[in-house]
Amino acid sequence: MATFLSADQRALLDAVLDRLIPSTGTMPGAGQVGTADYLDIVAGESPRLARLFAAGLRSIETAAVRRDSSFVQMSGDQQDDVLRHVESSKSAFFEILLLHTYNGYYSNPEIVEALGLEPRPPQPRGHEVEFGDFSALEAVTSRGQAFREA
Amino acid sequence: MGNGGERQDVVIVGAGASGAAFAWSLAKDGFSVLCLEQGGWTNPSDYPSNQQDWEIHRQTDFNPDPNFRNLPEDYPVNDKDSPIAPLMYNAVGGSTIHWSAHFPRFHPSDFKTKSLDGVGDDWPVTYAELEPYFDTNDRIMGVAGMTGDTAYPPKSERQTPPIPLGVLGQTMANGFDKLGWHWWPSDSAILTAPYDGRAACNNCGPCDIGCTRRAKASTDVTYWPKALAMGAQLKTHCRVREITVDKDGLADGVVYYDADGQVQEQKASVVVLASNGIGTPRLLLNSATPAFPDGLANSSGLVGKNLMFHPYSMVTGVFDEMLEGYKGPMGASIISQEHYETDLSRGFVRGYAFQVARSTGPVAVARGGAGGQRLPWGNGHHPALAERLGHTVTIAVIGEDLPELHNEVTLDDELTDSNGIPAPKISYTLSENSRKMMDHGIGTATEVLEAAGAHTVTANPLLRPAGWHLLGTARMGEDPSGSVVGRSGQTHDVKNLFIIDGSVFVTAGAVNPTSTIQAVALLMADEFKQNAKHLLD
Repeated sequence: MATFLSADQRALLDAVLDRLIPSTGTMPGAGQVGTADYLDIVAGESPRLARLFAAGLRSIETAAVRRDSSFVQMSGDQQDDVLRHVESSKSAFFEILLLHTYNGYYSNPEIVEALGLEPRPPQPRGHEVEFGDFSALEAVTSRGQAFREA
Repeated sequence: MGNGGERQDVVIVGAGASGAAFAWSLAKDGFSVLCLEQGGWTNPSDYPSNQQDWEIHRQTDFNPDPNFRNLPEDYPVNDKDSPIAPLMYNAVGGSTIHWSAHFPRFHPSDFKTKSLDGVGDDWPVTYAELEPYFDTNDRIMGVAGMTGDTAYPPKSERQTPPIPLGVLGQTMANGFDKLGWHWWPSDSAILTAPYDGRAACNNCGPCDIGCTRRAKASTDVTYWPKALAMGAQLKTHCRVREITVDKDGLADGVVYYDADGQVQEQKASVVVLASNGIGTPRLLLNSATPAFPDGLANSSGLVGKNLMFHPYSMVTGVFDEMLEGYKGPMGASIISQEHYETDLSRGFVRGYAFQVARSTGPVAVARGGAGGQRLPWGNGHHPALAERLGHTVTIAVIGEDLPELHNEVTLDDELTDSNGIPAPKISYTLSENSRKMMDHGIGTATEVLEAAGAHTVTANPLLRPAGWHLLGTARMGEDPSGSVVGRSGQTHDVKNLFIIDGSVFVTAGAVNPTSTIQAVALLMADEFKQNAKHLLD
């Protein structure tokens, strides 16, 4: 499956994703739910993005090593500290990674269902929407003409 | 150079909102007409609303910005000198493929801004003259709505009942009522019941990625099937490079690139431009010759000038209640035109409208929704998303930006499309009047969101990807030194060259312009048919 990630990079990316969108009682973390598979596909379609991701992951690991640890072995708080550092020092990479992470995570039917929505695209079924009560328009009408003669 | 086909009576460039209406009108009365479109036909059943990753498509192949979408039929636009990015879609149907089909008309006062308010200019056409064309256009497009709107002269019966309010629309209607402000169900070119062989909307939500049900009126499913059945011809993947001119200074056809990139020549007795407010001036400027060194039909110097977008401020309220705004046509539930007409006590001239939009799916919410900031990552992420998903209302404040010469379309020195045709460059700044107007609108939008129950309100004062409406770059008028075309769309300089799209707008109004663009195109088509035998007199 992986096209641009080595096994080490994949483990690092999963750990990063689990801090960008962490797990809670009801929602799985972005790494845990396999969002890296989506990022791998996106990077596979764009050599520029693959290079940006690879370089960005190296920056994350470098920042972790400066704190005398490997990113995957750090506590969540320490990992967040490293990510905040990279967010400001490599902001272009960080923003692009984050937005693609949101794309992948929230397009995943498992996540859509966990949000309480139906895990399906908008079509072909569409939605039921209440027609509503238009009687309040009488108040608008009673105020009379609202445009200027010309 | 290839010979594209036999000589035609009328060649139209562009198959979008205006070109389709004009072609239909001519074909209906037996005129021979050929339309050249740089894009192709889209297949509604292929639109991404059928796919699980539908929200990502509005960032990629359905991105409204051609610079990001970057499909072969798109051309780039240098928009570095503009705070608003121009948006468009290139296909049969043009930008009606991706529009939200919000379908208000201009007001009577919009055609008289100079005599009423001393700004902009009066149009050579009035609301009353356009009224029958608004009605015809509504009938072909199919409009959901409700008569009796006090913000307009009486309208004919709408084709289907209004689009549903839903919890979101009802909540906002209550807010407007509390303040005693105007609101009305939005006129939308979206069917809520079967009409004219098309299905009703099933409230799926994302109109901007194409309507699989053909309930939304894009001209590929409204005007074009009728026009083609009556004998109009339409050739796709034909990208027009320039209009050619004969020794007498009359247009004698166009030169275009076909799907294989081959240059073809198409001769015609009449050339009609329907390529939008950026594509049309681009084509005229690219048609410069020694006899017309500043571009064709440009003796006034106004080709490309007076570009008008509508500035949009996006004001978003967050509610405790679940409003389910991701259900139902996204572009609008209701409108308010409480602040449409001039009231100088507000500190600016002319006015603005509110388009009360629905909300979006989880991907777009996480990325910031309609013009907001992306949500935080980390431990704060899930609470932020839960607070917003289905719990927001965005009011689009649409202001009337007045025509100004320095807002313009020119040709870029370096940028070209894939055929090597020089690409357009735009320069745009917002006037002080417009900024005051938009700031006022942010204030009143905040007031009504709070009246409706929002606990938090945030505003994006000027949305960048908001250049849906491309107007004014070949304005109409009676004086050849102060306008490019007359009220029939005929250019003052070249009697068999016509412009019928939003380029001809004198002012921009403060509502979405497509209904008015099409009514103007239908009026021009009628005048063309009446005068066809005497065009060169």
